[in-house]
Amino acid sequence: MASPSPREVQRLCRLLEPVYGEVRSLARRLARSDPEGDDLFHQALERSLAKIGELRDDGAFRVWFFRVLTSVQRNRHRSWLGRWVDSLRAESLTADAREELDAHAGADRMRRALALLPAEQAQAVVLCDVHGLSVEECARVLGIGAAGIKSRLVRGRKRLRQIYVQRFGVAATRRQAAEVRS
Amino acid sequence: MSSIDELIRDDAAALARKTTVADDFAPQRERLLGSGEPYRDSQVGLQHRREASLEERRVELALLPLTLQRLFIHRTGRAVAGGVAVLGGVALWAVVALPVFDLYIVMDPRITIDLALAGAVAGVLAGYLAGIVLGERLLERAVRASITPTWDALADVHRDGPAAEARRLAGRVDGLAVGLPLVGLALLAPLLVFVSVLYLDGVRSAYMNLLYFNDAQGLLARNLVYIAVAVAFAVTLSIAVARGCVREESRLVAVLAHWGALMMAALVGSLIVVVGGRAFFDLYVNGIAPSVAARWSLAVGGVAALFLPCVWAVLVLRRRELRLLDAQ
Repeated sequence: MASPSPREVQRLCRLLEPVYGEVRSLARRLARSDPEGDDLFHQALERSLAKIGELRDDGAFRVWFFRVLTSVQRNRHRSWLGRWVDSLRAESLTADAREELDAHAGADRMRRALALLPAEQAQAVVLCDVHGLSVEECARVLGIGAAGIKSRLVRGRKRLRQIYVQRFGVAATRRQAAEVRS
Repeated sequence: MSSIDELIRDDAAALARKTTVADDFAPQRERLLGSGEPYRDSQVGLQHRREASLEERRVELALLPLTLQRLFIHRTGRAVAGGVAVLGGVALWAVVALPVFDLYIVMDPRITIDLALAGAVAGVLAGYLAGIVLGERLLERAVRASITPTWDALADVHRDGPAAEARRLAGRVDGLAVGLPLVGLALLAPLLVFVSVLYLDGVRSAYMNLLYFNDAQGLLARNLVYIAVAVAFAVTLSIAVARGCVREESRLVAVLAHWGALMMAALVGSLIVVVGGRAFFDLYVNGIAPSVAARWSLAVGGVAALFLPCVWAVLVLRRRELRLLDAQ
């Protein structure tokens, strides 16, 4: 990979500065831990340095960087070996989750639950429900239609409820318990 | 809103609070403007990631599915065998068609067309075996490169693993593994059919000599236009199918791989049997040569009845391979 020119680095700095905190926060939310999130951010930063020449509209930098970030995260999930290792890790995390439920804060519980979701549903839930993007913004970031995002959100939220009930033993309402059982 | 939904909403808010990072861009700016290196720990983090990814790829190589390897190797075998068939077909057609242009050449009279065809078929089989060996070598070289560190650490981190490399290679030979055998078949099949007819007719020895084959019988010379058009059509169709396979989404490939195409070929084949039988009867019993319309029908129908089932079989085999690939 050719090293970026000083001009490109300066341009990236100028564009990144106003949204720096937000994109680092999003990276941590997408990852399973804060250090992994920081690594994800730096990997995305490295890729954006290589691709900054392709960005024509500076005003679209925020969405563009989000897109790079989610793309890097998706590629981490894409290899079959990575998925296998992730699933093993998620299983080992949840084996003793019931006992540790009280010891963990809500944030950790949410991270454990997100780790059990399919990658595309987890991304949609994080972007919309945790990070607070609108469905339209989320659709622009992930490069699919709003209907697709809504569908992923519905499926992701339903799966989250199942995980909360079945893995964490959270009591659901009677109607939702029936939904989860189905 | 129920208790579980409230809990999920609260947890999402807790995660958002916990992961919020302060807007302190100054250290990052310093790192970026200082060296252009986005990593916090400069080269150290990169080296660790390279080591980790290489280790992961080594594990991946050890667990590389045999199906992926076999698929690429057999595709390479088919592509090489097809290439040999194309070369053999072109050479045979060149030699056979020479007398038509009065370009007589000195040929060994012992080399007959049936012997040359048998040689071409043996060459195709040898080509398949050679292709398998070549495929093994290519795959080995590619996967070895994917787990070997180079001078460029960033490139090592971003390089595809052995499984992705094997998939990429299998994808690259897909079009060749479909197109070349079909083109080779399109070139060799008419000669095979022609020799079979001559055998049935009792023609042997000197008339099969490459030099006299076309001239002495006259059958090929008189029908060369029809046969050439049929072969050209089959070759064009083969190339279109191969290009469709490379593009992945092709209506032509979808239509030809459908069982309806096989049914259509069987229908046309039965019509060809009727037309061909009548022409044969007229020629050998009544001494009347087939009409131009009958010859065109036989040429076009020959492609439909003999070539389309082969295309269908190759595409069905490819579809099975793609299913295996998707299952990995």
